[in-house]
Amino acid sequence: MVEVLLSGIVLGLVPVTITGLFVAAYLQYRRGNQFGL
Amino acid sequence: MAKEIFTVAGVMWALVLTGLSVGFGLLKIQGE
Repeated sequence: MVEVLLSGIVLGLVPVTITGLFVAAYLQYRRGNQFGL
Repeated sequence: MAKEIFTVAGVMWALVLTGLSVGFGLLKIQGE
């Protein structure tokens, strides 16, 4: 009973979300909030 | 079945990265 679409969405969004959060945190950790926006 | 799951996951990555690119690109244009 594995839902292919649901599993794909979860396994696709979780890594990219975690990666993005850590990248944003690292950028602020290194140089302060200098996203340039 | 694993192939279909990875395909959907790849589509999600593409959608997220496209959205981020468009969003930050618009922010950069608007900020100039």
